[in-house]
Amino acid sequence: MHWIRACSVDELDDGDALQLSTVPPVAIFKVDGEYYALDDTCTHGQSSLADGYVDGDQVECAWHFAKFDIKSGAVLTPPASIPLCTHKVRIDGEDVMVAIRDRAQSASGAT
Amino acid sequence: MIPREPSCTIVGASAAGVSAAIEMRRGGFTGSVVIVDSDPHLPYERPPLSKTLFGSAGQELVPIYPTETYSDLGIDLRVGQRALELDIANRRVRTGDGEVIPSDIVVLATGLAARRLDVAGSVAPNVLTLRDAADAQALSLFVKSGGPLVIVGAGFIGLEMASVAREHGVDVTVVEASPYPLSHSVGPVVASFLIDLHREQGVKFVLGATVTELTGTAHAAEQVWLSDGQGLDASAIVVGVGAEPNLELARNAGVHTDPTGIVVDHLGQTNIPNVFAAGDVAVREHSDLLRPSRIEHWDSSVRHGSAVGATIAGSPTTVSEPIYAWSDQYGSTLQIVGRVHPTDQFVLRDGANPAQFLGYWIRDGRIGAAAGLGASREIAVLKRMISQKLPVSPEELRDRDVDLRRSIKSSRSVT
Repeated sequence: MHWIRACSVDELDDGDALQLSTVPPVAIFKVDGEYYALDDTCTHGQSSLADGYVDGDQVECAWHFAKFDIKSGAVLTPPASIPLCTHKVRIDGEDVMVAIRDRAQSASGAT
Repeated sequence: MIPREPSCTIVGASAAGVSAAIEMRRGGFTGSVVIVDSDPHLPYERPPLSKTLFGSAGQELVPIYPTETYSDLGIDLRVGQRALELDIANRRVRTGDGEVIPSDIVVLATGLAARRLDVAGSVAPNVLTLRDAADAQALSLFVKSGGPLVIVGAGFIGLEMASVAREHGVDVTVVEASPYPLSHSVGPVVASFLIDLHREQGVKFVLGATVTELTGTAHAAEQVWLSDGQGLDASAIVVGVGAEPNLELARNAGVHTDPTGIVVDHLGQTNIPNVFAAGDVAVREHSDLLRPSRIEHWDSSVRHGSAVGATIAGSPTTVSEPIYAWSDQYGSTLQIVGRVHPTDQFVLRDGANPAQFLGYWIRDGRIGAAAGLGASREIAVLKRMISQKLPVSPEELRDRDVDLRRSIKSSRSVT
């Protein structure tokens, strides 16, 4: 696990998202003033969830409309059935920092 | 006397059929639920069939749900069994194995069969269509053995197969009777972007031409002859010229059909009580459609199946979401939401090119439909603008600097 800077604290409005070009990519969401980090790639298709539609604390995948809970990564609506991996977030002064899981050994990512 | 729990039989282990079964259980239906399908595989997703190549063992098929989901929910999956007869008077379904399944409630999700070319030489084994896993496996073998491949019909299946074949380095010519591809789904502007996208990848098009004859040996068609007189060499021919509804079971049971499908009401009910039809075989009303029609898209089938399942479980449900289709081509996703009507005004967002574009069809001051490539962020917003019938300005839609997501959220806070 290693911390990286995602953005500055005032970069996103509520309901906005940002894709980090990590491998695999991670998405940062802002919900009710709080930041959350999840794997960016939908567990059903290959779409970016940062491109999805955010409604409250849910994000809907842009391709096939699976919905996930942004806070927990849980699947709320098919066609996805596998939850999203979540990542720790902390605010460091003006910076939003994300703890990226080191997944070199587990290629599946679904740990 | 305690009434017996009702039994339900779903004919078709498709997106619609499986969704109906799952939703029935989710809605608290406690009677028996049986899914019958002649296809022997665990129910699988069909969209990937035209988007990749398959081996012969079927191991790459994408299951709709894992086996445990069916056993956990008490859904009796009878794959590899063909439903032969729907016996309305006795409320049962008879299968090819001679089995008789009690069926107080029936869901017909019998789907469609590929339309075939009606020309001389078209029954050769290398003239292929694509609807199911077996078709995909046969087609993959031919594509892997090299070209030239002739694809008849520039619809979703034709264009996706062209993309897959080009990605495998196979020579591809697409023959289309209309002047442009996807003629029923997008207008000429979007179509021209798609033609350019495919041409850049080396696909050849013959537009406005039909196939008149296939010639070759008894074992293989080798030349495709066209209405403009030219002949194309082919090692295999993929025919993607639409589909016909599987109506035999319904018709023989007296279920009301028309030539295009099984006619249902807003809840998926046929003329016969407790007999429903779901998915692409159903002819139904939808706010995006000018008249009741089939809707041949995965998303619509899942939603319709789920709605029918919910209705059977006691919560009458009608599909209200806009019609949605996507198509994967060369790593990009074409998305179409809503339905284009002939009188719509077309607006193209500035900066469009064959690799990325967004177009809208304006109807009565609101968006009737939209199509985009590499524009999934916007499509998600447009789906909501269509279903909420939000008034729009063509100028704002054309301006690529206008963030649609902000405009929908601000209009929501105003109303």
